Amino acid sequence: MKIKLSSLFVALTILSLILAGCASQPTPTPAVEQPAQPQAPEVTEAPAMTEAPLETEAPQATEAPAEEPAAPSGEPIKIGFFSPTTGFAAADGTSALQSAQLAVKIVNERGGVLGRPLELVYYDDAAKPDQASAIARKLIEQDKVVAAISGSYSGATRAAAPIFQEAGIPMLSAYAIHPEITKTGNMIYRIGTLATTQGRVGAELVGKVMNLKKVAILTIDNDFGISLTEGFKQHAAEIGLEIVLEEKYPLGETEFRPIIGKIKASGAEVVYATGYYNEAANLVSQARDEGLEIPIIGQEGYDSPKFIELAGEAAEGVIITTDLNRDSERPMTRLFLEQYEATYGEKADMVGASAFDAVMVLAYAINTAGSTDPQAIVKAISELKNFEDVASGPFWYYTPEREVVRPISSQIVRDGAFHLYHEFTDEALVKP
Amino acid sequence: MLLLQNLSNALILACTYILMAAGLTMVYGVLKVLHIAHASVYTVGAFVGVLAFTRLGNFWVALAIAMFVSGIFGVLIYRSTYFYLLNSPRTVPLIASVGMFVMFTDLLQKPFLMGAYQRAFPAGGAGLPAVKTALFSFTAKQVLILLVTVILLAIVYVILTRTKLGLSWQAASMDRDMASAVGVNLNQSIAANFFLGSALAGAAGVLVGVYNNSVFATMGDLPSYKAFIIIVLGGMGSLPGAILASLILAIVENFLVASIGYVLPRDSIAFLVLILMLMFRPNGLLGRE
Amino acid sequence: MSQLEIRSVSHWFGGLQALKDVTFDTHDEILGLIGPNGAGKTTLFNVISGFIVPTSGEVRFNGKAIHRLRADQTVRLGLARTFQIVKPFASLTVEENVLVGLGMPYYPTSAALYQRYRTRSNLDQVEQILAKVHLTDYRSAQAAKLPIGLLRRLEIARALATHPKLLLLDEPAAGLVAQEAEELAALVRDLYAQGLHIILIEHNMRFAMNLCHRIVVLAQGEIIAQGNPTEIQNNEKVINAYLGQE
Repeated sequence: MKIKLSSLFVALTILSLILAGCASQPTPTPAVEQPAQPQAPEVTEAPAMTEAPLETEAPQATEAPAEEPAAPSGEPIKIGFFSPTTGFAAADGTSALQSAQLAVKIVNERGGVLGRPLELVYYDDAAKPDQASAIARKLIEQDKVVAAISGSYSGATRAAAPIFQEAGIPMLSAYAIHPEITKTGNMIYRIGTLATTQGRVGAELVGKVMNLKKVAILTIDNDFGISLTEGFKQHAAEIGLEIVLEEKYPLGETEFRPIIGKIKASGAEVVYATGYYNEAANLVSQARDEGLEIPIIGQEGYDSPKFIELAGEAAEGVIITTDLNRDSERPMTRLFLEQYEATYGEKADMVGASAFDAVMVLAYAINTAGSTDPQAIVKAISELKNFEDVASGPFWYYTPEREVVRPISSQIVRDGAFHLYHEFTDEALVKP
Repeated sequence: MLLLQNLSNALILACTYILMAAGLTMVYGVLKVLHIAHASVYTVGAFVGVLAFTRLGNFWVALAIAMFVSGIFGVLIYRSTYFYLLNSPRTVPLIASVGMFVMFTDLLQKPFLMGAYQRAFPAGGAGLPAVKTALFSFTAKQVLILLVTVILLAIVYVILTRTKLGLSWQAASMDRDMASAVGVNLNQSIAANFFLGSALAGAAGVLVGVYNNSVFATMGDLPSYKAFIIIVLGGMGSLPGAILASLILAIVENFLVASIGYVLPRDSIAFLVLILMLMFRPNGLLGRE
Repeated sequence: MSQLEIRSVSHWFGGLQALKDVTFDTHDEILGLIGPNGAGKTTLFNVISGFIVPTSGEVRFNGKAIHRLRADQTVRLGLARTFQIVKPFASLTVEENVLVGLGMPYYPTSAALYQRYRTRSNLDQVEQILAKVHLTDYRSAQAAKLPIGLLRRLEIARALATHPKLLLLDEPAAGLVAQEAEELAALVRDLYAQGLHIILIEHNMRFAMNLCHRIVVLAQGEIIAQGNPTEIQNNEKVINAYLGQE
């Protein structure tokens, strides 16, 4: 009996080692992810439009066209995609991947690109820069993609961008926030909203929409948080907000009670807290437990059904700035939200919307360019105007720095879901 | 008043450390092995706890199941590995333990087990009331943690100091061969020791899972070293030492953050305290080794 | 009643043969096991008490084969031993040291989970045992603090706690002054009178000769002589073995 038990255990051990060693897809298997790794997440800026949106010259309307589009045929056109589907960022990476795949499906239902099927070549980067670099090379040399999308965080995206730039392959950053990404070169464009812009919108939200003055700022200690807070403070100074407390906290922190005590003592009327859904959920539920009732303002890091799941009741009333307006009447937003939930059984989030939009923009660009020539693709993106075929749109236009200008939304959690709180359409405010 | 509230929060934080450290102290005391894989038992306990709670809806039953499964898991680890390494030099079981910990963490991240996501553990306060006084308050969850910790510690204390089993552990921790020579069945004694120590780790996992409302495969990474720092601080093999060290660490962490913010990551405070302790008092607070 | 049969026991430590075909019987007596250093006496004790499984050969205790049993299993059968280097449970008191042995052989571990060891009956038994070895005054002393003479008595007390039928004493007089050795000899005779079968490893020749009924002489792993003390003292092989030592 003794020997049997331990043999069984040894057999299980060997079996699990084999399982751990075998990767079924061509993705590199990531090592154990430490939650405390300072990965800057992607934060994208949405530029603002003052002109009323014109009719877009998008290929097809989102309503079903009169006739069935011809099924795409021939050699598929490949675009590369990488996102973290394992590791601490797995929820975001999976959301991004699934949304991108949904977009590809929709593009192909409408006839594909240049009459040919669109194909997504995907790899898991576990949000690690070195893996992202390796994947970038692989996509360029082995898979020979015509363009690529980063569905990953800033650190990984920053590592991959120069490789695509040098190879002359266009790359879209779906939701990576770091300013340096688009500065890499003329091949790199961004879908999401630059952090400093989103920060400014946050200050506007607090000061002008909610009419509050005394703010406690809690910043997650990485590029994401720091640039958001910078933007917030910049605009807060312009409109006369008073910062009564400012603290930084490390990525992965789970214990906020001591800080909450300080916030209570500071006389703040509102908390502006940056973070991802893990930290945000802990912060928000501990705050409510400790009796801190003042509003808590977050950003797109909170934008995930996971935040609501983990924070439970404490999520009610939390307001965030983000690109995805769940209450939008726009056809493409509704299409994305409904089809994502129908296909995957979960609610979509901002990260997914950005990845979805990246595919839609690329498909549009290739069709508009009439070819897969990188320069033509990039030109088509830069000339895009009032693009409606996106879930987080409309995209008004792209700045010369390759940032998109568009309305920024704020959402509030009500009855366990995100809903529209206020939309910011002032171009001066939302332009990166 | 803020001070008292910080203190009471620190007490609860300490409870989450104590159960983990107590289990580790027990195991280290008898086996003298640095059982890093203890953190895997912690994670498995949290996982089984959340699964049981989701299926059955009752926190206490889920806790009992989690503790039992953790205990068995711990015994399996002992019987399959440490049992054969009892007389090897101390680095050998340590390496085996680290290897097992890495392997289990990797295995737990597979989609058919815990996957890469966090899972909510919405047990709340399991029906217990919150405690609110003028000076400080405990939420229902905090009351739950305090209650479970105190009860489990009391049970462990009684077993350790009053029963024959506990006496056999004390004897075995001083001299394994001599214990055997006076009739202690080492196999059973050590297995029981592992069972109880691992059950405590499982309970710690469940409590932390409920407190932070999240259970995930790598949640053992932090406790894997913090628990060790605590038992070194407290004096290897001393249960009262581990309790004291947990309290001190939790208080220091809380008060440092409350006063100067997160100047360094809260979790690194433990390392600093360890370095200081090793420099000035290497036997730990109450240790005798 | 206690009968120990040792049959052709040999043991190798790697390439070194520590015991060579050792065969003898002993029952209900005080047996002395003597021989020069390195003869294998303690190894033989280890084999008998279950700390070593012999490479070949058999040991039977009251008819039951015990050479493959663990140490605690032999204790359960009534075999207790002391060690050359005294190792008490350092942080426990004298009383607790004895209590450890008292409860162990008789209960499976599951009962040990909730059974208290500090019961009235156990404490009474401890009192009796301590009285036998004259350690009553040191009952609450911490074992680590006792001098060697008292520690040797504690060793025996601990062994007695397991209610043995056969007691193996490994150099019980080592480090004792003449008077302490006398008291020890009296104790051994006393225990024998109460029905305990005793085997004794001893270097102190006078001590062994005065105390033992029979002697077995081991040299280089083999038995070179057996017999009563007078015969052994005059045995040439024995004398040579010891002279060779010096």
